[in-house]
Amino acid sequence: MMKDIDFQYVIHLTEKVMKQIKQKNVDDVVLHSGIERNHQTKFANNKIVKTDVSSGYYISIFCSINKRIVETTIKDLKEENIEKTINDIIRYSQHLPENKNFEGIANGPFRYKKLKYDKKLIDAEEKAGEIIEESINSACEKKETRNSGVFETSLSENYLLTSNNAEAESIDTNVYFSIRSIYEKDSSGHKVYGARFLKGLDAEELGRKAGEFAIDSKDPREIENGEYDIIMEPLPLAIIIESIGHASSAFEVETGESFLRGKLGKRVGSEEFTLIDDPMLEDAYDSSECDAEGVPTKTKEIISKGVLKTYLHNTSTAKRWNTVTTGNAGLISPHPWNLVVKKGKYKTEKMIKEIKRGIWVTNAWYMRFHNTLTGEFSIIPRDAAFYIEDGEIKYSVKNIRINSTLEEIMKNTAMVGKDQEKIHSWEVEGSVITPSVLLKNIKITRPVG
Amino acid sequence: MPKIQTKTEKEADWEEKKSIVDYISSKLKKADYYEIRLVESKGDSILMNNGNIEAVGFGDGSGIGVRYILNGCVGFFSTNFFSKEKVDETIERSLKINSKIGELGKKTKFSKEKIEKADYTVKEKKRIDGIDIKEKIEYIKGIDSSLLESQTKLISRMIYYSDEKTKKMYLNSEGSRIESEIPRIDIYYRFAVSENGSTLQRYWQNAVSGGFEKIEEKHIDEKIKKEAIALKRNIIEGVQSPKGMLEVIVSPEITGIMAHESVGHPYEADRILGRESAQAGESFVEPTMLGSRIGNTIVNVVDDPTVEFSYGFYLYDDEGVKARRKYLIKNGIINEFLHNRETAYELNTHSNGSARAVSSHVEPIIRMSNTFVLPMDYKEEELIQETKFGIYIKNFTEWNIDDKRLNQKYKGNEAYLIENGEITKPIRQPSIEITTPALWSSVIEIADNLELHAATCGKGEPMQGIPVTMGGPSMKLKIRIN
Repeated sequence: MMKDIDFQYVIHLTEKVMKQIKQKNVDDVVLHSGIERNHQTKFANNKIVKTDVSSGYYISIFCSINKRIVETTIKDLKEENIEKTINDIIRYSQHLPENKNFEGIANGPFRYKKLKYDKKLIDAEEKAGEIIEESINSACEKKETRNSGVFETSLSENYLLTSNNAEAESIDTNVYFSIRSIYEKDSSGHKVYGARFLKGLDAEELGRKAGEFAIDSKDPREIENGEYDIIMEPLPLAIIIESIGHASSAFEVETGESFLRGKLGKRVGSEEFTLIDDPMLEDAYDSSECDAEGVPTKTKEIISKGVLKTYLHNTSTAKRWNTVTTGNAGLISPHPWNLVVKKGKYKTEKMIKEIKRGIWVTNAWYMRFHNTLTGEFSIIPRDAAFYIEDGEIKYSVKNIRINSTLEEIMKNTAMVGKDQEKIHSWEVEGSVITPSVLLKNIKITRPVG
Repeated sequence: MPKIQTKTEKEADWEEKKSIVDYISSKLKKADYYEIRLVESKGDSILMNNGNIEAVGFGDGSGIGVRYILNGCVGFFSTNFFSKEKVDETIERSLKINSKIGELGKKTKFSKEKIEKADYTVKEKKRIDGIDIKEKIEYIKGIDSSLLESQTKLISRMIYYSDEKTKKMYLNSEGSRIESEIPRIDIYYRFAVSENGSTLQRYWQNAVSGGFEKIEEKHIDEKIKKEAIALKRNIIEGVQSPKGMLEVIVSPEITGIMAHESVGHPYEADRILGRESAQAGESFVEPTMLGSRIGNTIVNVVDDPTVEFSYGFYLYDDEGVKARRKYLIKNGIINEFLHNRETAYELNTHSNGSARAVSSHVEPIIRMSNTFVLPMDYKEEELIQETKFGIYIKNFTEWNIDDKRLNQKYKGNEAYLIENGEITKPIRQPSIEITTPALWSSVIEIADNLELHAATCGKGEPMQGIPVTMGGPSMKLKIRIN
């Protein structure tokens, strides 16, 4: 049996790895290590179908030797395995061509503003049954509904050490709740919540709203192809926002695949649309004190009142673009943290009143691109969707598909809601905080036959 | 000289890890049922963008995943700690949470299945862990060079290579014990061609289980070059696609995605019974629909994990059940669902070996393997020659389907007009938007050119991207084009 491992031992080993690897005449080294503790309770058809716990540890190594980049993760921390891995890094690097694009990592040391974490979250995994039961009960308050979803909690102790004197130690916690409520065969509703602290989770309210959507959307009808105004709830909008955030990575722009290439300083959205990357939010799913190079993170507007203000950078992409890092490393490709759509002043009821012919979409899935360079995509509304005519909800609809481009979504944003929701979901891997928006003139199609 | 770990040391390490399996077994004696998977994976990866090797990665790790039923409730735990103390801590957490579920817990039962003992390995002529990283880089450089030879204006080129050898030991409390070793290689590429201010993009995956020789047999370099040339021609010469009710010939690639999305997924019994409702969704198919017509009598769709060297290959699933070919649609009739032991018990049948987990850290759930339409006698050329006016769709980009698997869309990328039995001009983005029963009822003829195309199928929470193939031969459909 192996030696028992705790976080201090992982830090000790990480420092040892740094010492050993530096002796090999390498250039830049970034080590990430940590211990993770995760829990998930899954429910379906109003019953808990599985409890799931996991624990694990790792040391990830990023190493540049004469601009040859090698990455690996050690998951078996035996002394001989560490030595072998370091030798393998050197061996691999000897066979690589130079990465012409690589411009190094950030120089530390840095000082970090510390983020708090939820010290009580670990206890919550034992309360999973109660929390889920409350949510199901409120989803069944008005009528009997069939409910499924997950409740997840996690705690990770993280350590970062670089050859350029960045060193950071942090603890992150995450909570995620998802409930999908089904009333009749074609009527359902879905609500989610993702954050850092348990205190903001109102599972009862999420259940109630999912249940209401399910009941209100019964007997859906088909509608004709055509252009409609769309009110998009935070849950489906977050899927699209995450794609816009991904496309704002300087690396994606350089590869030639981003629809935002060549658009810096240009209008890509309406005046109403502002997109912020905010890594230091106290209670958001993807908050982080530092990026993958150890650079302290900071808040930035990616798109301000419809104008593209910046791409997301790490040190290497920033040097290539003659600018400074935005604290968004990704050691190869920069990425956003918490994507925040700036809230507006409208309630959903007000948006409904503004619509002559439209659809209120409460969830969606399966977004696929025809072409990421042009941002052309389609996405399928899922769960409750309602047809609106002359400012009033008329009936629920089914079997529709939204066909648009990422730029059209931003440019056709006419009204922005006042109530943001914290979205992390099956479709949204990261963290998006957004209100609902009203989109004008979006193409809707439906299947034939 | 660096110390090289010998095979004997590796084996000793594996044996040492196996000892924790016995320890966990001893801790779960009170469980109604348990199963343990010890998994070790080792592999390389290479990312190349626009000809530049951005990074190379390698990994070597192992973990253990355990599922049990105690008082009727399913618990799962996983770890890559191999110390008794940490394993004890994880088991205690799991048992504690599970004990607090109470009446809200589903009382889960499994179908009775045969006890299996087996040990199998996928043969490699050129072992993936015996090939130097230099050779792997040269191989993907060769693909990139071939793409450049297309003489097209390429504004982005990305190739991602990864290989992985997965060694697994499975045992359950009923006495099944299976060991396996499967090597897999996966090459994903994406590129964009630009002409006259317009762009078209293509992405595809080529993957196998087996040695390096199996990926070489795919001749990716030749295919990618042809695809780029075709996209250039499409931009320059492409005409508007005809619309309305047409005879449409779809290539094996399109047949495959159709079989995967609108046959494989809705026939997963866990979706049918609502277990994946909040994730991948449910299904328009209900248990009572077994035996009912869903398509033309010439339509036969199977899911078969036993296809040698395919990306979706396995011989025993992650519940220890022997894999076999399943006829999902037989002569146009819904014939069989994909089952694990839980759904098989609930629908009063036997598991057909469809439970898989992508790693030790996740539970096994129902997955497709190699899902394809069975070929018939026609040649693809004959389907074309017999078409007076129609279209031929060679490959696609955008596609999606609703969470019940009824409403689907496939947007053609490389596509052509057929006039008087001959392929003539390229056409732009023909779009099929159709319901599942309408699609499979519209199949008029099926060719003999069976192809399997690799894909990574997403399902589960946390997401499990599992190796599969999807395929079939070319098919002629009579459908409406938008």
